[in-house]
Amino acid sequence: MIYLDSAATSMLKPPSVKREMIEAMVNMSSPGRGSHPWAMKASSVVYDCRENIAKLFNVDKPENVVFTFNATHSLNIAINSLVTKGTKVLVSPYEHNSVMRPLRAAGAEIRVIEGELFDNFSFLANAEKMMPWADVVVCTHVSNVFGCVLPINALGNMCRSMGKKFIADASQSAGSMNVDFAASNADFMAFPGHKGLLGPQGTGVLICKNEAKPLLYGGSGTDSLLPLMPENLPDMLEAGTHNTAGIAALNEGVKYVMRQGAENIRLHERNLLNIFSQPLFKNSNLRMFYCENNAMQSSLVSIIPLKTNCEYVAEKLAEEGIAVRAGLHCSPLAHQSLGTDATGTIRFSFSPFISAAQARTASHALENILKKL
Amino acid sequence: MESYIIMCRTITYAQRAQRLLDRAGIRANIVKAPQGLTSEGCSYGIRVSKAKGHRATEIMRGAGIKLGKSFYQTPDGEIREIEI
Repeated sequence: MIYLDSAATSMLKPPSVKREMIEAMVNMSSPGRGSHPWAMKASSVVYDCRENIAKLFNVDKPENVVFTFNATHSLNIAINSLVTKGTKVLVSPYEHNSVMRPLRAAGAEIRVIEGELFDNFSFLANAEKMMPWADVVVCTHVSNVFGCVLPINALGNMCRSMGKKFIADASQSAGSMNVDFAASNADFMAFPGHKGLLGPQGTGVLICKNEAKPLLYGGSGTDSLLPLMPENLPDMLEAGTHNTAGIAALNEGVKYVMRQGAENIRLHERNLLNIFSQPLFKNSNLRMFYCENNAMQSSLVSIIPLKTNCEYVAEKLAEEGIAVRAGLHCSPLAHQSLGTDATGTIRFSFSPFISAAQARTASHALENILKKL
Repeated sequence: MESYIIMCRTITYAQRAQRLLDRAGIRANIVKAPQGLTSEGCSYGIRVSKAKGHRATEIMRGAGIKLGKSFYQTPDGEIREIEI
């Protein structure tokens, strides 16, 4: 199999991720729920992961790293903390349903920052014009459909200087490029553990600048006599038993990224994207959303076949052992912004464990399928 | 051994404290505090030797760790609250 669906979930992981997950299931119980060796081992590994994530994302206090079940859970906490009925929220044109649905459910007034694909200059100019209206800004770092890299640090600075709250969604960038929480000036930064950080599904992270409003209420292991959740991070946002095995495994993924260097991973993946894309530039059977500027597009690219539907091509690729994703990718706003909502796209996303030869094979396979139509 | 128990509210703070102190050459164990030491219920703290108690407190405060009450524990297990 050539797995090019890492933007959904990274299936190819460092072997230590699986090993540590088994180790946790055998030798670790619940962190913060006792003082016996199995609970303390779990606590130690969970804290180790918190500390490593704090280092990787430039967070000054490990306790501001909160474990969640996925990025959607993280975004729901962030939105629940800052948005109520009538809150004015500016969003990028590429937001996922994990942002848009909780915003609508909260009763937010939403406006979309306009901008051309791969043009951050116009995006920031429009953001500046619209910013006085807003209370809160939510922006993805990388579009999960088009791979465009948005200027979250510049946007965060703008928010800070104009007194607006800022939520950054690093779902597609965490682990796949350098992401600096402090430089982003974000109040919250959300990302999953199971994509670029190479951990298992069921793991997510929310980095908090300050305290937040709990989304879930329940046991926290400490301050049990308080009628509501403890007031300290991370306990206030981590109700219920942790996914210890998941977090222990995620820690191995994070350590892998730290060893390799997020920038080196970005360069490797972007090289693969170029190898895959270049043979397709002159192909008249498809439309491709590609940016030559390596800094403006991450390691994923979308295409639309012009003679058939996306799902058919994805199915044909799967028959040849190539895993990709077709459809709207849970981001209808992104498709509406670019007029691709009627067709969706086929997304090819790369990972550290894909080789140049595999990228070439996938490109040729796509060419051959399109040629036969 | 005579020791101090310094409450850290959450196990995350206790772990951060333990690692900070370890880097400073002070051995600290994480302990689940006996009920009754705090008014909020279950809590964690760190135990250090009596000789290192003041230095440990300084290091933790300097790192911005939110500390709770401190206790002195005699070798036979008696505990009483103290100011460090």
